[in-house]
Amino acid sequence: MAPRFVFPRGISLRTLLVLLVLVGSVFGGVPSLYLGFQVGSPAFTLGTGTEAIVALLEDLDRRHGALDRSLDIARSLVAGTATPGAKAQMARLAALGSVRAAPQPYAQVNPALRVRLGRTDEAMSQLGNMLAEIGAMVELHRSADAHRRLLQADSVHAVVDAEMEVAASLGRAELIDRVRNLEIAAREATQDTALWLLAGAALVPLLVLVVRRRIWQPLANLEQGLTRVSDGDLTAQVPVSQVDELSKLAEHFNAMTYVLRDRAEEQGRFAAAGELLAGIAHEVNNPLMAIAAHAELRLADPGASAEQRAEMQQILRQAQRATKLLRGLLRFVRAGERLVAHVNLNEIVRAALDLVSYRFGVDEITVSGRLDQTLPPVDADGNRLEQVMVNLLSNALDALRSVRPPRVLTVDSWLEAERVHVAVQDNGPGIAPEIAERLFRPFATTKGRRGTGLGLYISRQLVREVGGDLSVTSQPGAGARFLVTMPIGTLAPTPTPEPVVPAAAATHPLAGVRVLLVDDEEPIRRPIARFLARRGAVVIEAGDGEEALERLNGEPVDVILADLRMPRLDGPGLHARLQATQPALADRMLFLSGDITQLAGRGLAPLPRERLLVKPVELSELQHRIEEFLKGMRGAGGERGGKGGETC
Amino acid sequence: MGALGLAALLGCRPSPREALIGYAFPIAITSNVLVAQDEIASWPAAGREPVRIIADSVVQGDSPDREVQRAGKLAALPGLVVIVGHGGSRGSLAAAPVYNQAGIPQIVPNSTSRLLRKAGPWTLMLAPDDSIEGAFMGAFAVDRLHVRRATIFYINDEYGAGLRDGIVAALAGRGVRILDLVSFETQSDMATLVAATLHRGVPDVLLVAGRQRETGTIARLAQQRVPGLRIVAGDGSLVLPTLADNAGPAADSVYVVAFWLPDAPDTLSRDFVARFRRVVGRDPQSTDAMSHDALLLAATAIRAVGAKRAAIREYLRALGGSRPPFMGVTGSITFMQDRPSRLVMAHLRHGVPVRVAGP
Repeated sequence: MAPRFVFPRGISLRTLLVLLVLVGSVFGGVPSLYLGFQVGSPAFTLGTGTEAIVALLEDLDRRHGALDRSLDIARSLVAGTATPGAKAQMARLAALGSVRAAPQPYAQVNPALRVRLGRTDEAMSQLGNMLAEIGAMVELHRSADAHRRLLQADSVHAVVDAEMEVAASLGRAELIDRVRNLEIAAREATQDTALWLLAGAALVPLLVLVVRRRIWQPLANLEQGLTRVSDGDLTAQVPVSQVDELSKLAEHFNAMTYVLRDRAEEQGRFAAAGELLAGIAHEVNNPLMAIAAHAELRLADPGASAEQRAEMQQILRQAQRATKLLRGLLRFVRAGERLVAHVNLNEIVRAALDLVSYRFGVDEITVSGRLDQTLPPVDADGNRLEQVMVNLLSNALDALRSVRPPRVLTVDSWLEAERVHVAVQDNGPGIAPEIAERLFRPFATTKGRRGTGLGLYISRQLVREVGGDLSVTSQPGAGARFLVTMPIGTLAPTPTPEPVVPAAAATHPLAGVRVLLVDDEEPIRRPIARFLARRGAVVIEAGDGEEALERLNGEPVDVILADLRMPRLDGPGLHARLQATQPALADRMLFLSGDITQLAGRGLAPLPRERLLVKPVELSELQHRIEEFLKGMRGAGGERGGKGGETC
Repeated sequence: MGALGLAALLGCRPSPREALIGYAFPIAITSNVLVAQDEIASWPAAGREPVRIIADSVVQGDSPDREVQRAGKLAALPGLVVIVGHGGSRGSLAAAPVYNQAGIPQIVPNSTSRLLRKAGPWTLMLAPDDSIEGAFMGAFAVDRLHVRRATIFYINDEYGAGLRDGIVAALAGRGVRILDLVSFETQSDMATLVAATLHRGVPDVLLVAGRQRETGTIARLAQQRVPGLRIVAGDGSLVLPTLADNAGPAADSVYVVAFWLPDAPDTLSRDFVARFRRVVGRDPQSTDAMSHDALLLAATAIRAVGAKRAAIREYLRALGGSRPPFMGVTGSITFMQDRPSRLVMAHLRHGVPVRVAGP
């Protein structure tokens, strides 16, 4: 089995990268330095040496030539065969040969050559002065002295020749030696560079292996994991095999997907609970409407005793309370698209309080505070703000449950510095500073498995989306105070729905109006039919859509009031059939539904809002809506339908 | 030739914490090391490294090969940060590449060859170059001695050749006729050369660019043939009493260029003369004053910026620019291009140089 390279686990990725850069730099830089030292030095030595030796030898050669010619003239002067002017020429040549033309670079040549050059130089100077003396002796007619000095000059000249030859030989040898050194250095540099490159090539697989194991593969794993998460697979896990930065990233990634998976499961459960709640609400609405309708009918009965009327009144009140609660719940769990409008925060607070009010009595919680009645509206999505408030109230109630009574929940609203403020305060255990710091971060919770850790995070996001903010102040043991601040609204105010005119204003307001009432639940259908009949309407009843179609054969109707959910043919089905066969009748349909959020999914969207009635509906409101609908149809010149109305 | 020896005059081996000044001169001029060291020792301790002068002395100017060897040995000394020397233009020129390559500033006190200006960035001349000295000699000959014809004797080396060219240029511009240019060396037959030269024509003045011994001999031989002939010599001749001894009766006809004379009235000069007399037992000469200034300048630089070659180089370069000039015995010292030169012409009277021209 081949040995497997194991890189030290303790080295961090940063250290590894620094090491790789260092190795790369050393590998790239060493040849340059090496070549500089190995070849540059002998090349420089050769360059300067060549220049110096050539300069020295050239100067000596120039002087030697001048002295040679001067010596020849001296011989002719001594022999008496010289031409006129020869003495002056000899003196000039002797002077020329005696001195150097420029400072000589003795320091750049080797000592042996330097010694020879010095000796040659001295001998030349000596020869030059001898020649000057010969000229002087000839001039003074001391021929014998001149002859003797000429012989001495010849001897010195021989010395000059010999020294010159040795110096030239040494100079050549030194140059050749320097060239040879350069060649050797170049050859060694070539060999060493090749070896270095081979060593580098041998290291490449090792580097590739290290990079692949420590960087490439972990990054690929992370990328793969992120891709899976972005595709919705929250089970993605990244292997962790090292102890470095990428491994830490992988660990964080795994922890993150675990949390996401956990939260997703929780959100799934919440969504399912929402769906279940919506279904239950629909199913509860029908009996509630039946109860309320019967109670209303009995209340309208002049023959009912005072006791009976009080009981009916109580039944109607409780049914209306249950209705309100159910509507709030449905609205809360079915927040649709964001719809920013003028919203009064006091109303939002009240609605939220209604939703959680069932806990006040059970948990012995006292609600206090003051809502500023002059509070200006804000621009926001009411449903989302209600979600925020419910969240804050729920948190406060949870906190209060952990302390002994008295438990006080205080909700205040006021206007300050052009911003609307709402504070939710409790006298619970408070929040520790270290927890308060991360309270608005995702997945921060003090409720353990019970909490998602998203409530406050989402609440703050929702408030900030409309220019507001959410903050908390708390002292451990002294409760917590959450503060919502929002700018005053600038949108045009939303038109307020006209108040429902009490049905008792006219005895037969629906006199002559033909109403086809389609509902499969007789306990609902019957009281509605009786109520409408008492208001003067001619009511035709049908148990489902099919039956309604049969009733419509030859029977003129002004309004068709249909439930959404029915056996055989439901409300949407009936609407579709009428649209196909009798479009004018389709435009006269009003719908009853326990859950308006389901309309879009049932093929009825977009429908004008004024054609929708949400169960349970009070009978007086039903009468009013029918009257308004009829007015609308008449105003449209007989063309029934909700042209130009707001749709949902 | 010269006896080469690395003689640490003030101790045996350099201490690692000492800042060393190298001093490379003929043995005759090493006495001023004692004077300089005496003055440096009198400075208050300032927390800097102690300064020590290492003298590498020879009997006389040596061959270029020997000068290069001396320079190599000095440059290799640990702690050596500045060099004063070498003696003579030829030696200084030969050694300059060694010091420049090592980044050691080389202060050359007495050498005048203009070639030293091109020897390297860190070869710094204290004396004016031979063109300035030649112009000074020429001006003196014409303006003070009123000569019309001149003969030039020059020693056959960089000093002699340089000064010759300076004198020729100065005389040519003043309408003086140059009868002859005669080269010589230490072993030349001076009698023959002088006789032949004067046979060709008798000048109003002999201008000599040589050393003290040859200059004195030329003066004596020339006066034997032409009594009353005046001799104007370059600074290389001003070594007393050798010059006067060799000149003999002609000594009083000799004028010689000096960079400084012991009769200078300023305080620094008087103190220097007093110190020199106390330490050495005789009056200082021009070359002593120049060497003294060079040594004290080097020591001052070390005190000012520490024992770092680069810092000392910058210190020396900045003199007269970002730093004030160094006030030496021979005057204010800078190494700028336009620095003033303070040359003196002395007349030997009874063997003593007497200032006749110059500051």
